[in-house]
Order: sequence, then structure tokens, then C-alpha cells
Amino acid sequence: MNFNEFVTDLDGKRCVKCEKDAKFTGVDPKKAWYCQECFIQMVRNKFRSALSKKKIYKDADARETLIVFDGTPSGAFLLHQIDDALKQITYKRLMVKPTVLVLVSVTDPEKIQHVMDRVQDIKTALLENVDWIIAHVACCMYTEVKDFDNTKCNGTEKIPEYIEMLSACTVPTYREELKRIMREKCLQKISEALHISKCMVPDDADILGRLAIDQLCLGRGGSLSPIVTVLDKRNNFMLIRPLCDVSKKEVVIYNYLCGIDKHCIQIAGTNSEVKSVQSLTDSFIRTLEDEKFYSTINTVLSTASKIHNTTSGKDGSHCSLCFIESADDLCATCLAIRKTCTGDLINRFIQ
Amino acid sequence: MEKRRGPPPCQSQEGCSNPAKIRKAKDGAQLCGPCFSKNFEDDVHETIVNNNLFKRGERVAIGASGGKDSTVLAYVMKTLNDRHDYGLDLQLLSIDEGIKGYRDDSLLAVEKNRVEYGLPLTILSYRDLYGWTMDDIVAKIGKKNNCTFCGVFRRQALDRGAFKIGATKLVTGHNADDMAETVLMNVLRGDIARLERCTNIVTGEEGDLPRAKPLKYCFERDIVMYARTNQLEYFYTECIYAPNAYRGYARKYVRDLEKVHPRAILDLIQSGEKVSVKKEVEMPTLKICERCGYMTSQKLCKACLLIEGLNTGNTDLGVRKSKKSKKVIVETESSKEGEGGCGSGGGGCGCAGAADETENEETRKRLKDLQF
Repeated sequence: MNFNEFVTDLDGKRCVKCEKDAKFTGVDPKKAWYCQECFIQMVRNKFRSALSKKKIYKDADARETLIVFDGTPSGAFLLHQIDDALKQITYKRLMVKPTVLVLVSVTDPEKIQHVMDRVQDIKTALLENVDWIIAHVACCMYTEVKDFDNTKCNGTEKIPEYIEMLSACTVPTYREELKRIMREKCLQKISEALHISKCMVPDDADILGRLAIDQLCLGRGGSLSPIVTVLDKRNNFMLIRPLCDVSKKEVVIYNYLCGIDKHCIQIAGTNSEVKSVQSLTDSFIRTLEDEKFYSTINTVLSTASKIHNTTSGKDGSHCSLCFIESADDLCATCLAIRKTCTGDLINRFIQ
Repeated sequence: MEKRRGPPPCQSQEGCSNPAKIRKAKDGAQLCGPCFSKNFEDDVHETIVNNNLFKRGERVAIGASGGKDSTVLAYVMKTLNDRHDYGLDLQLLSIDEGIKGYRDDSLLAVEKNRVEYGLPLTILSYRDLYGWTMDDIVAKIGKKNNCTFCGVFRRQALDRGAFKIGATKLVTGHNADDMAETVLMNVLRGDIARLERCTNIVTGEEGDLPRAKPLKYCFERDIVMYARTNQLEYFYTECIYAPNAYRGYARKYVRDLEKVHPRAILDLIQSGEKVSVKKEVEMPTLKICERCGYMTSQKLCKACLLIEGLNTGNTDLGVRKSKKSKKVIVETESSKEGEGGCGSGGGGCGCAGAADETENEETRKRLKDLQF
């Protein structure tokens, strides 16, 4: 998504907050328009209110947080928000002790090196005084708690195993889902190793809205709430999604206005032609947006936040792979995923 | 290496040696024609028995449109009723929406079903019930949102028709694809109340007329194959007013899902079945429409609201949430205080206080004939 894709309207619209000329709008152009300052404030408020509403940092003992940076515009936005919040000297200061985790998902050594080089530049501009750790998503394959090295990309030696496990999954939809689950497993493992219980991810509303529909199609409708809303509490681990109300479009405009769009790491991805539920969902949402149904994502996420599983709270047991509530060791979807995997690498995640 | 020629053998569990001709969309089993039909019927029977859908001696109205789903439903219900001796009194019930070149033709297919299956048929029309045909409505409001009118009116019309014939249960031909689509639509619309109940195999049990969906777990493609295998005649033209519906996007998505990952259909239904609304979320309470006595969560039921919009020229009423619509209804409410009707003087609405006395009489007569 590029800033230039968005049309700025200068046709007599007034900012809904301050009556100045409006130039920017959020997801739906039929709704509120803002001037530059109020737009930045509005996006920032969305981020801050997502955290404050859930009172995540109420407990003074647990302020250490892993801030995940994946090179995307949303990742850069998250870093900037944390950087900005720590610099506040008023009551608005966010009481968080961050450690930045650069999560690498490319598997080509040259691309990994490119990411590491770019991180050195970004570090000098954002959150320079905090710890930075670079780790590959293949860290999920570690079977034991490991010490992490600040000077290299951790987990690269596990890339072949990681690729082997994904390749062993023969159904494209399940392979994509397995990637998502492994990313969460990786974050959980790193958090455990660093003794940090909170982990903030840069998943924005567009990603989460699509994820909600994907999960519906995978039979996890009852468990949407922890998967796509701001807080996902697990045993000794908490996944925080402070960008759940911020759309990709808002992120891109904000990054441009605040000059942080240069802190993204652009990596040419391979365009997969394989069709899956995830790729169909993506094109479905795009079609609806093209047809001017702008509020689709907001409505889906709002719906997800209001529902829970019919069996919720009855016995508290969870699926050992994806961690949704499940009476059995594996939920029905994870059971189907395991059945489509030819190797036994996946079994190490199943108790 | 020897190459296999011809179709594979039938995978039926009964040890059939015929060549397979049909791949069942639901589970991918390759079956011959007779085994496919038997397998399909056993699936529906299992759904009926496992969910205790019917009681012996019940009069059951089958919502019949002449399309593939309702034609297959009528045929399967008759077949299973005879085979397993359910002891049901089955009757066909059709609604004539008043769409020239579509519904009039499809009703001919229902008429054939009546003759072939020996089931009594009752037809109710929108014109009799509401004073408007769908052709009139589209002429008034255009093709946008007309499915809202049709859907709301049909639901009520089926209930009223079932009451008329003395049925204690209404069965409809909703299939797995329809259910998946509905789950998705309710999520996209944010309708959590409907989302929670839309996958129930029997709905409306709290009211007088429960509705059941025996084809809930049958894939649309299997229904088409079943109709072909058993040479059932059905009407297969899409409604001429449907293409502009928002549901069309969801339908296309569900069809694509079925091609890429067939299990997603049943998973979507399962998702709907697992959903429960959080306690802290405010839910609408079920009331009775002040004008026609039908169940509603508002003062007026949706059908009365839509008729009011049609009759007063405010066609956004009940369709869009706008301050203007709300204002109009508030004004209409106050201006009609004491009348108790929906203002459908020119339309012959079934409400008690229609404005035009001549039409009013006519409406009362129609209602009396229908014995609601």
C-alpha cells in the first residue's frame, strides 16, 4: 500500500475536530475527515486507547514487553508509537519497558543479511536505547529454551527444519494456517527465553479482519475474540494487538506524515499462485472495498469482539497447537492440519 | 506399467461393484448413481433422526419454490416418510412473489411436484398478503435493496401459509452452502443475534411454528446431482432481481471456497454453531408487532415497516438506518395514533387500520379467507 494511492480531498471539507481545512480521512471517506494534526492525533489515540481500555499496564511489576518489528509499515508504526510514548514527559507516558524483537520470515540468506543491515539504520532513529534482538521465525523449532545473541539473526540454523515442516503440509490453506500458528509459537518461545510475558505485535485491522474470516472458514468461529481482538491471554504469555483498530490506510498516511515510512524494510515477496482460503478471503475483502463497502473490516472485528465459544469456561482446556479452547488435546482444525502433514516434525508441538 | 482405464469402482460401503460416476462434494466419495442417491438419503435421514426433527402424526408444510433445493426436499421427505414410516402429513406450500417470467414459471414446477408426489399444494401471494407484488416493488424502489423486501415478506408469508394449512412445522430447503453464506453474512453485517441462532437446525421453537432445515448438511452440488440422478424436474433460473444483492458477493466467495477447500463449508457452519454472544452484550428482546401481531424486536415488525415505506413513498424505511427514516416513522406514528394501521390504504396491507375503507374491507375479506 502506497501513500500516493490515497486521494486527498481539498474540496471545502472541514476537519471534524478543529474546523481547519480537512485533508485526510480514515477508512470510510463518507465519514469523518481531518486536518493533518488531528489525523495524526486520531490515529495515535486509537493506538493508546486500545491499550488503556484493557488496562494492560496497570500492574507495575510486568511492564517488560517484547515489541515485534517485522519490517512492515505497521511494524514501523508500532516502533514509532512506543518511541513517542516513552519520550512523553507528561502523564501520557506509556509505562512500558520495551525490548524490540525483529522477526525475520524470509529464508534466503542474502535477504536475511539485507534485513540485518537495514535494522542497523533503523535502530539509530527509533528506540535506540533499548535492547534489540533479531530472530528468525524458525526459532519455533527449538525444543529447548535458548539464549539469544544480540549480534546475529537467531534461529537461522533451524530454517531447513522449518521449511521441511511447512512443505510436509499438503493442503495450501492448512500450510498458511500452520505458518500463522508457528509465528505465535515462535513469539511465545522467545518470550519465555527472555522472561518477558508480554508481546506486542503489529497486526493491524486489515490483517485481523481477514484473519477473522479465515478463522470462521476453519471452524474456529467461537474463538474469534482472543484471535483477533487486542488481548490474547495464555498461561504465562500475553499477546497484545494495539493496532487492532488502526487500518493499513491510516498507518500508511500516518507514517508518511510523520516521516517514518523510510523505516520499513521492503522485501520482494514471492507471489504464490496457489489458491487457499486465505487468498480467497483477501480477494473477497478487496472486492467489497472496491464496491465501497468500507466498513466491512470494522464490522467483522466488532462482531468478533462480542462473541465467544458456546463451551467457554466449562473446563478451560486448550488445543496444544493453536491454543484455542478445546476439550480435546487438538481442536478439530489442528487435527485436520496434522492429518495432512506427511512428516512427524509437527508432533513436537503436540503434547 | 499398466494404465487404469475407465472410472474407478463405486466406493459405497455396501460393496457395490458398479463403476463410480459421481464424486460426492461433501466427502469426496466416488459413487455410482444408485449408491449416491441412497447415501444422500441416508445423510438426510440421519440428520432428521439425530436432531429429532419431527413427531409422529405432525402436519409438516414444505416450503416449495420449484427450485432445486425445495424440489429435492419434497422428494426426499416423501421418500423417507414412506421408507422409514415417519407418519408425517406432508403438504406443499408456495409463495407467489409476483415476479413475471420467474415465479409464475417456477410455480409450474411446483404444480408438477404436487401431481407427481401426490402432496396437496397451497399457494399464497404477496399481492394478497401485502398488496404489493415484487414487480410493483421493484418498479417503485428500483433493483437495489429489493431482496430485503422479498426476504422479509417471504419469511412471514411462509409462516402465515403454514398456519393456514394447520401445519405444526415448516421445513425449508436451506442447504449447507446457504447456511455457510448466512453465517458469513451475519458476521459481515454485525448481526450477532442472528449469528447466534442462524445455524440452529430448528428455529422459532419459542413461537408457534418451528422451522426445520433437513438439508442443512447437504452440499448444493450434491443436491443438484441428486436431482439429476433421480430425474427430478426443477426450475433453475436465477431470480431476475437477485444479481444486485449484497449477498451475491458472499455467495461467490462461498462457491470459490467450495472449489478450493470444500471442508470450509461445513467449517463455516460449525463456526456458527459454536458462537455464543458474550453476557455483557445487549441483545434485542422478542416482542409482538403492534400492528400485525408478528414477532419482532422493535415496535413494528420489519414487514409492516417496509409496507409503510412503500405506501408513504419513504422507501428507505426499514432498509437504511437514517435519521430521516426514523423521523418519518416517529411522525407517522403520531399522526396515525388511534388508527392502528400501517397506512397502506392503497395497498391492501393486512394491518387492522388501513386508511381507505374500501380497500380496508377488501383486506379484511382476504385475511378472513386466509384464516390467520
